[in-house]
Amino acid sequence: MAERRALELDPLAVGDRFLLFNFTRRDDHVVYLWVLRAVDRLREVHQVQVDAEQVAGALDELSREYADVPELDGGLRDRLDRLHDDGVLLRFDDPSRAGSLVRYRNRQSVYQFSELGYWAYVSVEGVLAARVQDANLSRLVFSDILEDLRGLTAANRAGDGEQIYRRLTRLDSVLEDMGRRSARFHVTLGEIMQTTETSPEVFLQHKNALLTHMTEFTAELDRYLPRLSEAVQEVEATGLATLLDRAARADDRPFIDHEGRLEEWRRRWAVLRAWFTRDDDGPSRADELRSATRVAVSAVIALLRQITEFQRGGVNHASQLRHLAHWVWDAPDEDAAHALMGAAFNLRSARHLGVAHDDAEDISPRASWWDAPGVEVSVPLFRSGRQPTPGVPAPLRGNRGAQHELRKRQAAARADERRAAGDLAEDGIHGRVLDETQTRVLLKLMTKALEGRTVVAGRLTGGVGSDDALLIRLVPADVGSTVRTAHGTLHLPGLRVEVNPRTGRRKP
Amino acid sequence: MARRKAAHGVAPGDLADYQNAVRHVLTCDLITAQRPRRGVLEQVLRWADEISADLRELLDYSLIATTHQVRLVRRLDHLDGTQRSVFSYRRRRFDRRRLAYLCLVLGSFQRSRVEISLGDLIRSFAPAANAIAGLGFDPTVNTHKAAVVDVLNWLVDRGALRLSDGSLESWLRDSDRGDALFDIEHDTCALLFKPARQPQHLTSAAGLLHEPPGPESPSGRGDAARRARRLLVERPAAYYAAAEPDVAEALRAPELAEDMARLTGLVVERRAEGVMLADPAGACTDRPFPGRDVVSRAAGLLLAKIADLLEEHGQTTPGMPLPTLAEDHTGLLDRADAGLPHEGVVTELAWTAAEQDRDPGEPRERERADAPFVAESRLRVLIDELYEEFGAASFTTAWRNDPHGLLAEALAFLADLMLLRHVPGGVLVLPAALRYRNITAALHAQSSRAQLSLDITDPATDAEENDGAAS
Repeated sequence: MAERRALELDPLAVGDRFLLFNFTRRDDHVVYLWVLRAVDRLREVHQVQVDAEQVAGALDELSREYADVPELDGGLRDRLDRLHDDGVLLRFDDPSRAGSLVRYRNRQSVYQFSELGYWAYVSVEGVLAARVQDANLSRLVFSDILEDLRGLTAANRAGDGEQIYRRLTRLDSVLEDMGRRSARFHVTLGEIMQTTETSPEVFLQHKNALLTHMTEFTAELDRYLPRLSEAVQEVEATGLATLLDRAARADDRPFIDHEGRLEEWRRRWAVLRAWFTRDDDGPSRADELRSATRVAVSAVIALLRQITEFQRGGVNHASQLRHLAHWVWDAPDEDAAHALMGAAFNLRSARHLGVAHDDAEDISPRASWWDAPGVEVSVPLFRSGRQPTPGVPAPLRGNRGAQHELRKRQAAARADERRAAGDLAEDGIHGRVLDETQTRVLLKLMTKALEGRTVVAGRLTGGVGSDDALLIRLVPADVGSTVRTAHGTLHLPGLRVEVNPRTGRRKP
Repeated sequence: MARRKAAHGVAPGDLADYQNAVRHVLTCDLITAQRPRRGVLEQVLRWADEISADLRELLDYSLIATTHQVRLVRRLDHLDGTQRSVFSYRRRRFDRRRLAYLCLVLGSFQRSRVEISLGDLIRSFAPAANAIAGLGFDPTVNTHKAAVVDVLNWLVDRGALRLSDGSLESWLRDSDRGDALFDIEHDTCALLFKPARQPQHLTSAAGLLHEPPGPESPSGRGDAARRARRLLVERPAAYYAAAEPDVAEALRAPELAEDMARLTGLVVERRAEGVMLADPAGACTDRPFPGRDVVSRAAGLLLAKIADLLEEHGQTTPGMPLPTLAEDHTGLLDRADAGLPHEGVVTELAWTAAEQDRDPGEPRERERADAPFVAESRLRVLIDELYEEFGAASFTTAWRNDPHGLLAEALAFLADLMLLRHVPGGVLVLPAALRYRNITAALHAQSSRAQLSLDITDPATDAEENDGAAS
């Protein structure tokens, strides 16, 4: 295959061949192109060797058909010579008989395409003529391939060398074509996907056809692949070495010897085999093509979804935002700009005033805000800027000395009280002056007793107050009682106080 | 009107939870796993169906809830220039450059890319910026770069972008070497921009708003009720005199406000001049008041001073008629429309405002309410007094030497809360401002403390402190 041989070219040869395209880089490359077109037109009518006059005539003819043909102001011969320098054209002296010395001396050169030069010209024309719309996956070739493979089996069995050669050649070209097409299709597809950013219309227009095309291709491939794989194996079963030998014999290319031809057919068969049968080192090329097509289908669908989503508004999302940016930027003030942005994005937040009345029902809804009481606000907040919150917990300080001291004092106070309570229980409260501790104990218990009283039938009953050593009972009495303390006299009208030691509990 | 009540499918035990979710939805347009806080999304998604039904029925809002985002798409009645926190980063309000950059950056995310580096983003965004006369983007100008950084941070906050490598700071320092790589969340990007109509089809910003049906149309009455509910739910206070007559009438119906209170968990406060939903927790708002920050505090003290002033002079201060929401809106609309780039409008599809939109309503039906006027010069005296009483240092270092700057800031804040209103030469005091008259105690306590060195706490103040702490 041509591509494979190209891999073996050394850099020098590659450089020579690149020189063939030199005319595309010259200043007036369009003129060179038309000159070559004129030469090619003459070649089509089998005028292989042409001189400058004939080329000029062909150019004239072309300029009648196409408006773009440039005017040549002489210098055609120079241009032909430069094409000769690049290797696109070959230059010969005119071999026809001159007949006279004058004509012999004025004899002109003639030109013809070199083999490689012609390829260079054709490939340039190919690039120029290429259209995106041409890309396709050749769905219909599978049945041909299958038929060829079966024919190959039959021909090898029958020993028909020419038939083998024909079938193999056709298979070779079909496969090459298919590989090229699929590669081209995927390149084109990738290009469409990248460029729809700006103009998705082309894509949308053809989306259905594209998807159908790809899904049908995969379906066809799925259908044929097992059969093709089987057919390849059948061909091999009829004896591969014989087959290739016969093909090489039928091959009538004069410039390659038998060994070379055999080697080439072997390579071609390996390529063919790699298309349809799975090797140990990986999937077949048809498998790869299938998975690539599947990926492409899902990519197309995803792209389609994105395009339609973004186009829902009719005008592109990005252009809306650009328009809005322009609008906002030209707004006369910030408030208007924010109002516009907020409305366009539809973004805002609810806003409410803080602090509510606890007793909302007590205020008449008909009262004016002027007359209604204000809400209870936390004044420290306004005084100092600090909210009256408990705040973060203060760090714990292990102040052992102080704690110990406090505990000691507390214990002493408790001991004092207990002793005082003991005194009270022993000696009663009447008929003596109570000291400070005793008074405190008494008052504490009396507070408890007074709080504990209940009302029964409109009358207060007595109350009882106790601590761990002492129990006092307040008994309602007509004659009140009096307790003398160090600070003065405590009158208890309507109450008698009875003091008893607490029983049933162990004294500490 | 036969209509179901708000939150009718919610069990009484769950009502607080439900109302909390509604408040989140109302204060945070786009709730994501991280925004406003972790856990909020789950809390809201639990009630997504009920909230969605309630909001559609009561307010005609639509709620887009997926497992990753919750987005409230509102129906807007008025343009609102006071929403400062929506387009802002780190409490700094976006200027027009940042707003325009935000649009362009959001518009430059290509759908086929899941991630983008800052360098690439700039390459695709800069030509668009340069195409707008006067805007432009110059990578050597630091303010332009800072604007881009703020915009990207804004998008990162909302989960539209996710930083995966590099940092914005390194790019800000050196845009040649520093770079950042972002993942693009296309779903979130698409959710952020939800205009009611495509901006390119508009000849006026009014097209972005809800168009009220004609008065004779059968849905007119329900529409007025919805507008009233929206006013109540979105704005700090709804004054009857400022609203359109049909909306004011709907606002007077007691069940309307009760319904909204049940939906949001806020407390109805109804007075002669209007009705409002008070927010006891101070969380259902973008501008908390009373709040701890210095502007909010100065605003409160200023209100107290003004209340004192008005009490002293009684209601003898000459008043001015309260401007209506429609008048505000018309002014804002005219200014917004002044910037409309006509060349970008797709005229074949263009939407034009109906004439009735611009009509501010017949004055004969409107009750004229006068609001007291306080002159600018008087306000300056008041703020100077405050500085004297509390000491300049208590207003933070940023403002200690700029009392009049703080005054302007506090007045703007109070205007946003619909407690004051700027008019040429001073401000009008709106009725709801008087509900904060108790702040006066802060002033009196302060002055009494200055005179008496004894530490005797005023029992009244003490009680208030306790209440304040308890509430």
